[in-house]
Amino acid sequence: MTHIWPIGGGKGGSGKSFLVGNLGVWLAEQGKRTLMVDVDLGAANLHTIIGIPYPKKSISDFINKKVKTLEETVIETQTANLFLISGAKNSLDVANLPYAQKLKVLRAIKKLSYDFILLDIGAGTSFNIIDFFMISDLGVFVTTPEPTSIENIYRLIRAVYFRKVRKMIPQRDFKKLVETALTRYEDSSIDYLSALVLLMKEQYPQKGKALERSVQNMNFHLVLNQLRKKDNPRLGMLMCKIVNKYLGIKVEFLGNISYDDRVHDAVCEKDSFIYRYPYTQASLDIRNFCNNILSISNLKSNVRNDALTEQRL
Amino acid sequence: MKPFEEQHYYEILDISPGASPFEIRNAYKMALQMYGNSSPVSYSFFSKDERARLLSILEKAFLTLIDKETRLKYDKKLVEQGIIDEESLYCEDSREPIPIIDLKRSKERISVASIPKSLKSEAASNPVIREILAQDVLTGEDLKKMREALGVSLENISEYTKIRIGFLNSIEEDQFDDLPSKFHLRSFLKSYLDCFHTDSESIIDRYMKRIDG
Ligand SMILES: Nc1ncnc2c1ncn2[C@@H]1O[C@H](COP(=O)(O)OP(=O)(O)OP(=O)(O)O)[C@@H](O)[C@H]1O
Ligand SMILES: [Mg+2]
Repeated sequence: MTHIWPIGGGKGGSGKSFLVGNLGVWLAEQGKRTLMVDVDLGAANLHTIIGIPYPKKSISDFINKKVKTLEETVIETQTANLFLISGAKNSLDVANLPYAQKLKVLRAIKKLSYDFILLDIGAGTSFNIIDFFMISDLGVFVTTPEPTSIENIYRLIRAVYFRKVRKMIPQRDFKKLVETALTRYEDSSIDYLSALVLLMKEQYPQKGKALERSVQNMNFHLVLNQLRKKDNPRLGMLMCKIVNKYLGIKVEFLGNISYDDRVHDAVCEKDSFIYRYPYTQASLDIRNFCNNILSISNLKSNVRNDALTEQRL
Repeated sequence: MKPFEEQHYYEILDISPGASPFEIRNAYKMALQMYGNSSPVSYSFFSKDERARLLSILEKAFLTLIDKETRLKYDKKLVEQGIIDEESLYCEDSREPIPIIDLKRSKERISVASIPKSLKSEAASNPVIREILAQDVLTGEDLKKMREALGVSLENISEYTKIRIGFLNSIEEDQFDDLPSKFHLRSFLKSYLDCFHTDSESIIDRYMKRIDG
């Protein structure tokens, strides 16, 4: 079974690529065949983080039909079991990836067979980005303790949820739904998205149920990166709480990752932080994060295997 | 997903109708961390206006529930409206604090020095605690885990050390700013740790590392 983990977060510089790189190396060392895909379509740089300054192939080759299959763009890394599809070399190639192209990429990713596929998703909350989150029911949001970063996380979570609602209903009905929601809940403290969901459950009970199920199946997680001494260590946990309480989406907190100046050194030397500086708080935190990702995935495989066995019986 | 105007006071504070005053205080503190004006958690989640309304509801909820009489009245109303069950309500007698140790509690307060050595030796051999103590740096969360591994409640430590429970809570939550000074923090930490560990100094140093830098 392939576990696809989209890893993103609305804001640039929060540490997405850094975490994908370290998680990739760690998983590979546990013997898991792991593929990292840089789908930061505007500013790909994952290759640099894992020490491959000049990747010979990239996802552009697939998008531009230079090669037939996505698999052909996979390159090996210095770490056994760890593979990379490097991001677009030139942002012009894919800056405005047309919808059909994007679908093609998404489908191709889903067809790849590895133990783990980690998607390094760029900053922003555009449709392009959200669709990479919709590819899997797993996902990690990375935030820093800064309000700007937190703001973008909420925006991203809402956008993903909104997209789910949007996909359920045909365009025309959806417009009507929005209009009703806006007038009916105008003076209520309930937010626009929740209003939509409530209304949908009322007017299309079947679809409302389906949405509920699909939201319950989402396995989203939050990591708070670059936590400094002065920051409130409960920030991430509280963020999850508010999202759960007021959006009805379960986002599980995976823990804090401390800020450490040496991260910068590791990135500059294109070296994996957890192996270069293993005995630091940040490394402990990252390993903790990696362990969590692995156990969540294992749990999922087990549930699936149980279900399969049941079917066969 | 209930709008906050429609939540009753227990819902708004995320506690059960059976919550003790201690839990109510804690929940309120947590709520302020979430919705307070300087909190980054809710800053971009709610509008300024929404947050102000939420805060005023929270305050009302807290003041109503923390006072015995107003709470009784409020509970009665909820029961009458069929919103909560009478059986789920808080009743004082059923919630005697659980003693740290099996000694019959005498009228006299047991001093810290007379906490049985068994607790400390249990701490020395407890695997959870040993694992935590292998770390170079310790957080409030670690302290809490150790305390809980021994089944000691914060209320009890507060009782023995005479340190206000709010302060102890801040220590476990790494809320250094809530404490009067760094000096106080050190001395509170010492009393706290002396309740269940023989080598408090080394633990204190590792806890303080994050503040002393
Ligand atoms: N825990 C940390 N401690 C200190 N610095 C960190 C930490 N995590 C990340 N950084 C720093 O933040 C910088 C940005 O990280 P990274 O490139 O992974 O962010 P990103 O989220 O992928 O950004 P973008 O959206 O622009 O791709 C890194 O160069 C690194 O120096
Ligand atoms: Mg990046």
